[in-house]
Amino acid sequence: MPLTINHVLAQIRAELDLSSATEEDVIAEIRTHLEDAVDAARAAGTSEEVALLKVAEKFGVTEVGKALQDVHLGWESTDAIVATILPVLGALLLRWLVFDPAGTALGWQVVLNRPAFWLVALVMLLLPLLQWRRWRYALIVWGLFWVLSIIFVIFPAASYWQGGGEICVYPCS
Amino acid sequence: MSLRDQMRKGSTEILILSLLADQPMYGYQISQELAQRSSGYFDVKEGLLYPTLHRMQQAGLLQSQWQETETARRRKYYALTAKGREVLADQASEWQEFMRHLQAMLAS
Repeated sequence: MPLTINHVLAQIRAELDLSSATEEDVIAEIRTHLEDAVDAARAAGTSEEVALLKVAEKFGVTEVGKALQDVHLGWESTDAIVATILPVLGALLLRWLVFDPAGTALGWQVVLNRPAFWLVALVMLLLPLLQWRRWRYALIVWGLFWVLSIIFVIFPAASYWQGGGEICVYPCS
Repeated sequence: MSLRDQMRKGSTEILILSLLADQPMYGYQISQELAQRSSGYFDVKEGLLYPTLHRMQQAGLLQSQWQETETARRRKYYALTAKGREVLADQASEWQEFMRHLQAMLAS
C-alpha cells in the first residue's frame, strides 16, 4: 500500500493524547506542511510516493509527535485544572448553603427559600455552556457534583416524608 | 549529540525570532528560509520546528493566525508579539557578547 499523507498524520496522531480541538489544530498545521513539502519535491521532479517518503523522513514523524505531546501536555493539564476548579468551588459553596453546621441536610426546606441557593444552582447548571479546551474533565466533576447533590437532598427529603412530615435521619426508625 | 547539533538546538529560538522580525511566516516557510539563509547550515528536522513554535507561542513570544491561501490551503502564520521583540533584542545582545568573548578566547 503506498504511503499517503494521512498515514503519516496517523503516525503523529498516535503519539498525541490531547483535547480534540488541539489535536485537530496541530494535525491541520502539519498536513499543510507535508502538502507544501510534497508539492515542492514533485515540482523538482520526484515522484509522489518517493517525495512523501523523503518528506516524512526529513520531518521526523515519531519524534515530532512525542515532542508536540510534551509541549501541549503541561498546557492542557493547566486548562483541565482551571476548568475543574469551577464545579468544585460551586460544590463547596452549595454544600455550605445546604448543610447546617452539624453537617446534615436536615434543614433543607429552609434552603429552598434562599435566593443564594437558587442563584448558585442556576450558575452551576449553566456552567457547561462555558467553553474550555479541557472541559471534558470539568464535565465529569460537574456530573459527579450533581449526582451527589441529588443524593444528599433526596435522602433527607425521603426521610422527611417517610417520617410523616417529621424530620428524621435516614433511614427513619 | 555533536557540538554543531547542540549549537543549533540552542539557537533555534533566536533564529525563529529573527526570521519573524521581518514578516509573519508559516511553518514550512520558516524551515525553508532557515535552510536558505544559512546555506543549509540550519537545515534541521522540519517537524521539530513545530514543538518549538508552539512552546514559544505558549510563552507569549509569538502569536498565530490561520489564513486561507488562493489554493484554498489553510496556513497558520506566526508573528512576533511585543514580548517576542524584547526577547529577540535581549538574546541578540547575549549572543553577540557570547561570540565576542568566545572569539577573544580562541584568539588568545
